[in-house]
Amino acid sequence: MSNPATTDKPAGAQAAGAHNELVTVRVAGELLGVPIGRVHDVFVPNSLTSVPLAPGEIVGLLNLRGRVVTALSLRRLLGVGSAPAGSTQTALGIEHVGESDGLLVDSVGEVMKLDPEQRQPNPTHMDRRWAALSRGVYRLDGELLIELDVDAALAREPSRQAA
Amino acid sequence: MAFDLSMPILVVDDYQTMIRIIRNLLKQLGFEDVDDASDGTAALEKLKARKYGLIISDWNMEPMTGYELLRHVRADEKLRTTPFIMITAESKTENVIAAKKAGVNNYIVKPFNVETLKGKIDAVVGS
Repeated sequence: MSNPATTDKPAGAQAAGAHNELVTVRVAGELLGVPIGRVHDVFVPNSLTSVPLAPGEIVGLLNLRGRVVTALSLRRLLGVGSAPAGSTQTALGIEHVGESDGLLVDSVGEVMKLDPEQRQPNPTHMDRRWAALSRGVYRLDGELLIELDVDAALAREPSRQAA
Repeated sequence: MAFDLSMPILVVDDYQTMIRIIRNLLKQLGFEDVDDASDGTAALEKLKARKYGLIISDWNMEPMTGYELLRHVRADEKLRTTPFIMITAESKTENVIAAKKAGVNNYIVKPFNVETLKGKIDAVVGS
């Protein structure tokens, strides 16, 4: 199957919205993509304050001069456990319903431009936790890229805790 | 907010993904004329070739850091008045003090969002 990733072109070289620009991340070895329009920063979170009795995916809070950023673990949201001890996680800064969240991932890669028409439905065998947070997949050369459903990932639904 | 949206902006960062994200944020704010450079040395080359209305630079770059770029810009007769916003990590508050002493117009502490960026640009070049 052909690789749907396009050759990168200078800004303005093609019509806006013609491609889906995804910030690629790795979680437990898997490749995921987050729409660039939802990402406003990439940072390494320091001085996280833990939140007693918070849902498991909430790792802590960052307090920045009164602006609070909630740090969530994409690993925990996907049910693959915590990051290995001693590893450094990177966060994507994402706004969700007026709040700032930091979505912790194992690593952040490049930005890929993909043809939205090449996006395919989730494979039927995909784990239900992963499928619940996926908008579909792109089949790259030798690898599957899962497009993250940001709103689903950051939704604070009590029912998700029991999943 | 009253920006000159035609103002050329130079984004300087050695992390290509971050450049793409900042470009996208600037596009959301309506800025279309955005160039980028991968470190201070590359930025100085671009600054020699074109007049920019604003520089947005990361601090932590190699081989030339954002701080060194700022010092070069402020020491250059032709560039010294160019508005300069520095981006620095949350834990590096000492960078903010050094950048202020070196003549930075404003700074952004990570993590930031589009509203923060808009506010800082407005504070520096808004009318």
